[in-house]
Parts: sequence; C-alpha cells; structure tokens
Amino acid sequence: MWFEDHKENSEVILATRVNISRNIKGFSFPVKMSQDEKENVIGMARQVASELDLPFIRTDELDDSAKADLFNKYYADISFMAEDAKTAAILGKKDGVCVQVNYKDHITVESLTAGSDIRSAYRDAEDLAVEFEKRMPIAFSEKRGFLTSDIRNVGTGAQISALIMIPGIMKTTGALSVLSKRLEKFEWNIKPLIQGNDVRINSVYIITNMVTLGVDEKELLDRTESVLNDVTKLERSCRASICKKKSAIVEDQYYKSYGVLRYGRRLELPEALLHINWLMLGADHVKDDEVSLSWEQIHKLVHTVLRRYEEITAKGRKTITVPRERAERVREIVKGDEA
Amino acid sequence: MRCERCGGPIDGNKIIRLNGVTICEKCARELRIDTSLMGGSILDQAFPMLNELTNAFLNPGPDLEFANTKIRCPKCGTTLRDVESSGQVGCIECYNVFNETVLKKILKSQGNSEYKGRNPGELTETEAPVRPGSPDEEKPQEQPKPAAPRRAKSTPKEPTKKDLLERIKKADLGMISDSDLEEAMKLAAEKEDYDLAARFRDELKSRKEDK
Ligand SMILES: [Zn+2]
Ligand SMILES: [Zn+2]
Repeated sequence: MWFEDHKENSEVILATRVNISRNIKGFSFPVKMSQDEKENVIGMARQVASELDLPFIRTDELDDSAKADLFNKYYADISFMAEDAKTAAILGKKDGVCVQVNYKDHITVESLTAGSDIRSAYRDAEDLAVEFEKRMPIAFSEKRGFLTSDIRNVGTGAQISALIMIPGIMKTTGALSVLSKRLEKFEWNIKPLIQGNDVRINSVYIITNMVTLGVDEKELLDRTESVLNDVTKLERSCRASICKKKSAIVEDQYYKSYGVLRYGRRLELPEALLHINWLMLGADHVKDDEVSLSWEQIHKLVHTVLRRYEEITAKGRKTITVPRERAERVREIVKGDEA
Repeated sequence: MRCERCGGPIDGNKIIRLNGVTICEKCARELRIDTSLMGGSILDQAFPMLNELTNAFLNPGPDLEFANTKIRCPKCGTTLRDVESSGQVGCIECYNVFNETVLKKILKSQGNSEYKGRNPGELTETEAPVRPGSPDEEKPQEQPKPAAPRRAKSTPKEPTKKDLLERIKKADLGMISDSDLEEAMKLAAEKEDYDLAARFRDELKSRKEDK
C-alpha cells in the first residue's frame, strides 16, 4: 500500500495528501441535493470513469471488507460510506489516487503519498481533476475560482495536508510552539490527530494549508515544500539531539518498546503509540544486528495502529477483542521476515 | 487565520487555541456555554483559564457582526446561520446571497482575495524551481515568503515571573510544587504559549487523579 513506502522525509511526514474539490454547474452541493440529483451526479461520474477506464464503485454495493479496504487506505471516511449516503468512489491508476463522488463536493480527487513529495502528489491529483474538468460543466467564477461547498476552500479548491509524527518535537521543551509559529507564518493549521490529554498519543498531528485565494497553484506548492521541509528539519534535529544527549535512555526505551510490540498480547492505542514513538526516535540511532526493523515496517505499524475500519466499527466487543487483535497485527509486522 | 469551528476570520490579537485547535472568540464563548450544559467534553474543565480569557475578550458591545441572520438562499434554503456555524454553503447561488455578509470577511482574511489559480482544464507547471548552489544550503531570499504576521508581539514580562517560567520549563515537572505549576500555567497562558500551559495543566490534572 502507498503508505508503506519509505520515501523522502517519510520518517517524519507519514503522508502528504492533496484534495481537489470540483462541483458541477446546475446542481446544488451534495448537502442540499435530492436523492435523484445524487443519482444524476453518480451517473455523470460513472461516465467519466468509464471513458478514463477507471474502476467505479458505488458505496451502497460494498460489503464490510470492501469498506474496510477503502477506509484503511484513507480513500474514504466512515460517513462517506454510510448506508443512504449515495456516494461512489473511483480508483485511480496509481496506488494512493482516488475520487470521491457526492461527498462534500460532487467530485473530490484525492492523492496520497508517503513522505513529503508534494509535487508528484499534486501532479497526480491535478491530472485526474483536469480530466473531469474537461468533461463536465464546472462551477467556476473568474473572480473566486472554483466554487466549493466549504467556503474556506473556494479558489483553487485544493486542500493540502500532511500527517506528521513528531515524537522528537514533543519531547523537546518549546519545540512545538516553534513549529506552530512557523506554520502560522505560512498560514498552515496544526491539530492533533487524536483529541485528548494523554501525552502518549500526542505525537501525531495533521497540518493543513489554509490559503486557496490570492496564490496560484505553483506558489502553493513552493510554500508547501518549505513547510514540509521545515517540519522535517525541526523534528530531525530534535530526534538527533535527544539521541545524542540521552543516548542510553533512547537505547533502553528502544529495546523495551521493541519487546512490547514484538511479544505483547494486548495493546491499547496509547500504549502502542508510545512504543512506536520510541522506535521512531531510535531507528537511526540504535545499531543492532539482532533486532532489525525497517522504516517500511515502522510505517506499516503506524498506519495499522492509527487507521483501522475494523476497530472503529467494532462497537460492543471493542474493549476485549480490539486490544488483542491489535497486538496480534503488530506482532506480525514487527516479526517481519525473521525466521 | 480562520476559526476551525465556524470558518470565521480571527483577529490576530485574539487567537484562542484549545487542544491545538484554533477558534474564534465567538466560538469560544459558544463552546463554553455548550460544555457547561453537556459536561465531559474535551473542553470541559480542560482549560481553567479559558473562562477568564474569553471573558476578557467579551467586550460589552452587542453582537453586531452577524446581526442579520434572516438571510436565506432562495435556491437551496441555506441560511446565514448555517453558513456561520458550519462554514458550508448549499449551492453556487449561495455565493451571491452571502457575499455581503460572511463571505466577504472570510475572503478578506486570506489577504489578497483575488483568485490567482488556473482555469478549468488547464495544467499547472509543477516542476521544482532550479536553485543555484547545493540543495542543503538554504538561501532565505529564495524561500517563498511567509504570509505577513498578523499577531502583535507579546510584551516582555517582568524578570521574576519570567524566571519562574524558564526554570520550570527546563525542570523535571515531577519536581515542581503544585502552586508553582499553577503559577507557571497562568504565566504561560499570559504569554499565549498554550501548548506549554496545557502541559502544566495535564501534569496538575494527573496529580489530582493520582490522589
Ligand atoms: Zn468561530
Ligand atoms: Zn444556496
């Protein structure tokens, strides 16, 4: 899957995402559309998908495992696949590229990549968006640009965000506020992926570009590149300094965390994240032939812990089975190819 | 800077951060009322200073900003209140209907509100600009310009208070007394360092839970 790749800066930037939202003239936005109108839009999108030779999926025809597949790859949210949502997904040719139909806007092209390569992620999203723009009457105004259901998105209609994991910054006094201020300057927003006061879960954040007017796409990409490089640089230097100053502690925690993830039988989410944080911190610091864990494995760990359809929809059996199943999956990943 | 809850613009001097989310004073006020009714939410008791902060922002004047809430889009039925609370509009026509009210403010908050992007069907040149010299050597003037800062510089604090904060920042939190922590939390909030304040708050909270 796309997020398992170890790419440029992906030890900090877990994922970079581009969403390009487009709407069709003559229809209200999905929130105000009738079921019939939604069917119309689905029909139009299906037509485009078939011209482009891309798989078209109605979400009301999906079983649970197919839904899990879309969700776990970050292609769809739970509410997008709700029973009477009348939504559809189109899969791009490349892993990490998809289109949501009738979500918040009529057409949302999404492109995801591990690491910080915003240019290729944007390229993939725009190429596909342009195919829709050529084939559909698009809601567009010279003055305001692309019209979207969310007024904060009007203009380029392009939302860029990144999922970042910053245990080094979190363990360094004052570093988070340095980061926040830097992001603020570029008009980027930062918020924790998981709300709560538990320090163990406080290492994963979503950062989002807030500017869709007054800049062109080129400038947007330049700014994004700067932002992502800044985040990476800051986190890297925090990790390096912790590893240097607290070498023995990092080493100790690394091995303990490895042990828990490799052999544990029950893992709550905060506990799992806590140990993954230490693995990330120590990954390039602890050198050992016995314990080998690749960045690909770490990425897989992070996502299997953070995004799991089966867990979110588990309901009643949540407290008992989920930690057990989580531990099982984690063990499998950490074990890797070892004999 | 825009409010993550309602999408409304935020005056640079009145930024309110809650658990990493930036909200406007109006929402902060609303949330305070909401949480007192609901209890147990993330905002409930989470930030003891919030009440003081928001109260300080609540200037006596009436809520003039969105006084006319009866405006409604004739095509899709979306009301100004809907737009205000969700940041969403229902159709293209909404953009004309709400232009004079909420939209103008939001568009204005993006600095230059003119659209500068591409037209439908056009492609963007996405190649990275070629920069002379080694890629590791960053030259500041070649960096894209950050947006103009919109917040006032914080005023310097008297040295004794600052010392306490600096000292606690560097210390192991476990070694600091409750009263010092409380003091430091207030100072951090005064300096608008809400992340730091939240750390102290969490420490205090965990102590109470341990007891
Ligand atoms: Zn607000
Ligand atoms: Zn409307």
